[in-house]
Amino acid sequence: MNRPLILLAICLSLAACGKAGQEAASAPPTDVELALIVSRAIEANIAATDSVLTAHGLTRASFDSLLFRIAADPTMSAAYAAGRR
Amino acid sequence: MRPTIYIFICAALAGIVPTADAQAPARTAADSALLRALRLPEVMQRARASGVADSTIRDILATMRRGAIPAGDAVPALDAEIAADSGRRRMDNFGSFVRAQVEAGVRGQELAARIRAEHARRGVGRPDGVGRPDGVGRPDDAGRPAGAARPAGAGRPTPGTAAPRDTSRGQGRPANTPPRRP
Repeated sequence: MNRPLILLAICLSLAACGKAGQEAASAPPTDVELALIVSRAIEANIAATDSVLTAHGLTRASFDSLLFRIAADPTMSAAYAAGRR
Repeated sequence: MRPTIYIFICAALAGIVPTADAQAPARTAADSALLRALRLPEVMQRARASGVADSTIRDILATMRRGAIPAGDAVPALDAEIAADSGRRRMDNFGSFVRAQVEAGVRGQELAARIRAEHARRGVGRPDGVGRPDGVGRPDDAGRPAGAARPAGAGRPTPGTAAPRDTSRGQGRPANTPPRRP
């Protein structure tokens, strides 16, 4: 009687664990990581700026905002500067 | 055949034949602004390191955001301020000056030029006295005492008197030293 319920609970637990692990593996990059990825790609090929931004879900305006946000934060600025060296 | 190759090489060196760089699309003003914008966090970081108060930086950035100034235009303004800092004096109320300029519609290189002009007007970037302040530096009586000049024969030998260097063997090892064995 209880066996199917136990099996169901185990399956649900495993499924939940698997999804959590998958989410952790594909965690979105931080602001600084994203800015570094995009800035490197733009510098490598400035003609492809718009496609680079689109590929990362950004526009020129939102990328500008991201840079301002990083610049206003000493910790993020330092991380960005270190990543660009 | 061969002369043609030489002519082509010479022409390429002289810039007559268009090379890959020349064929690259010209960089637009928007591209240049974008490349400047990429430096914004680094410039702010340098500004902090040079002593610009974090509150001033935040104030400037907030002002520029409110004025919808692109990040690429913020960089020259801060660059000018950091350059002034190299003279160990900084413009007072820098943030309010920049804010006033931004609110007046001044942007980009013109903004940087106005900051530099204001620096020059206020004497920022130049210490009050040129050179070291009074009393700093070598005292009047310091240095080699009178009559204690270097002897005539001291110092570098006259040319031609030094032993010739053995350059026939590598590693600077004299010729009569046996080579090391492992």
